[in-house]
Amino acid sequence: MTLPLTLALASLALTTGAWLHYLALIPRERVPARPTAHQAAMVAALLLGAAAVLQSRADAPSIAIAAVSMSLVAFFFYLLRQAPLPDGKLAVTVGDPLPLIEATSSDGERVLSTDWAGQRVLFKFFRGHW
Amino acid sequence: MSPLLDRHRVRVVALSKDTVAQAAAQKLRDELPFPLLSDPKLRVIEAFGLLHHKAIQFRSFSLFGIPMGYPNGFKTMAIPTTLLIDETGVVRFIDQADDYRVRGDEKRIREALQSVFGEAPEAGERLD
Repeated sequence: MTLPLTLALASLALTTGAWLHYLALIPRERVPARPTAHQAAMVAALLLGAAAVLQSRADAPSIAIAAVSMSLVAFFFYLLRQAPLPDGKLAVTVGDPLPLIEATSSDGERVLSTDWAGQRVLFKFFRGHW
Repeated sequence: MSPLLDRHRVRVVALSKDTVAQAAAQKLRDELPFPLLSDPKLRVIEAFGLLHHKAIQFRSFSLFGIPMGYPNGFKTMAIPTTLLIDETGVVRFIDQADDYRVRGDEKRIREALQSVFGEAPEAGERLD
């Protein structure tokens, strides 16, 4: 196996491994706030991919594999850039009475927040199912 | 976290943009002991000013038995936010995520429970 192809495959293996590990954390809600290890792996994969391209001397398979790997790196950092949420203009502040909430429960029943009178409630807005 | 909430007599209610069927499936799959409310038309979420238009939607799948997810376009959904409401219906605490990838901060909620409702009675202790 040529050096460029080895570098390209190593880059792809690193990118794929980091991606799979990261994706496996998502449904379990174990995603780190600062994925330093994943970022480091991605940067290393990027360098390996770049080295493969530079060494390739127009070797098409090496360039193609390195391009896939570097695209996966770019997509990872793109998604991280999307992570911060906009500042929500929350319509209530601490001390306000809870505005009326009307929704349907997973049992199909209509639910009104007035049903919770006299109860302490931890009300969570969440993104929804995975 | 559930035992602490029980000791403070706090019930949990969660709401998302999911349909009733999706909420029912998640409640069953994750064995959630609290109600999931459905707001597919985003009326409640919008009324609270919590629309997040550029949220990345993930689709889940299983790889050799390991649950995984992959990005599947953008969708409008709620900015993850937690409200603590007392017996009189007044909002006593608000916690809002600043990163869609990570879950709410349990430590802040624990502190809020103690701050708003005082020390929780020990398990088995009379509440009244």
